[in-house]
Amino acid sequence: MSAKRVMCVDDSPIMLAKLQHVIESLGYDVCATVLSGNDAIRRYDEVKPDVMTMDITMVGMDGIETTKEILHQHPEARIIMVTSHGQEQMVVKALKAGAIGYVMKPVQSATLNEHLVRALT
Amino acid sequence: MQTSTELPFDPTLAFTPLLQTAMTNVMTGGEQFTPFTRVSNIEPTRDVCAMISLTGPVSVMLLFVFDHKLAWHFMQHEIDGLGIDESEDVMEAVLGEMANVVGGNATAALAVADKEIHLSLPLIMRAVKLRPGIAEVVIKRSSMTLPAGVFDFYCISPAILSSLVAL
Repeated sequence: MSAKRVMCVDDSPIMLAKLQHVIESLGYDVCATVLSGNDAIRRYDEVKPDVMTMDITMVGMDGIETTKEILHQHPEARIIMVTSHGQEQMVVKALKAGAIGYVMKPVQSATLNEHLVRALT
Repeated sequence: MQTSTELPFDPTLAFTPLLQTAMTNVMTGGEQFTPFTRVSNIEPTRDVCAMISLTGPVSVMLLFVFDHKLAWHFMQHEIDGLGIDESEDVMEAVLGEMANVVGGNATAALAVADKEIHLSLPLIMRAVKLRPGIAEVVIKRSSMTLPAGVFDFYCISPAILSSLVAL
């Protein structure tokens, strides 16, 4: 059985590299990493990931707006928010936008895996 | 004038655990940790400064000021095993991400029910001298001396720094 495919969106190249490292160590295939919300929207069709991780705070289009747009175009998309914000409001906005869960930075491998498993079942 | 005892939080309690978490990866034996103390200015100037602001019911500016040697060491630790080449740009990105994570966690520590605290994007500055733009500002500093260098962590309230003077 082939590994499930994950697309990561974050405007920090370092965070993307870390996420990729963690996700691949969990046995998933990181099929794409993108640095902006606009790129994520553009590339979703091409990549068609099984699940996405989405940074909330990004320069330009933020993760909440990006999530709304992707879900508008692809209601089947499964998106996990990744945020350093501890605020309920940001999380609530993300979930209202259609995200299926969220993890806090710094990302813990076990926590992220729980969300990925939940997202894929 | 707002004094440190009138601040709506205790910076030591609020930030020390966060600071310790952020710096866990670079802390090795022999570190010297000093709790926050109130200071009148931001000095000495070090090589690299990561700045992030929290605004809302609580306004705080957080400054993470590094010796270059320590900042480089921090970057090396953070990218270990990631296949990323070491560079000054990567070092700045690592420091920005660190400020973002600590600042984000600080918003949780300082959260007031039903009132949002906004977190700015992190700003990295090199070789600048920071001077508070107003007199009635509370500055608290915590410092660490680590084997790889020295690190200062400032909490500034209200979050106003109107003067950045290049060296």
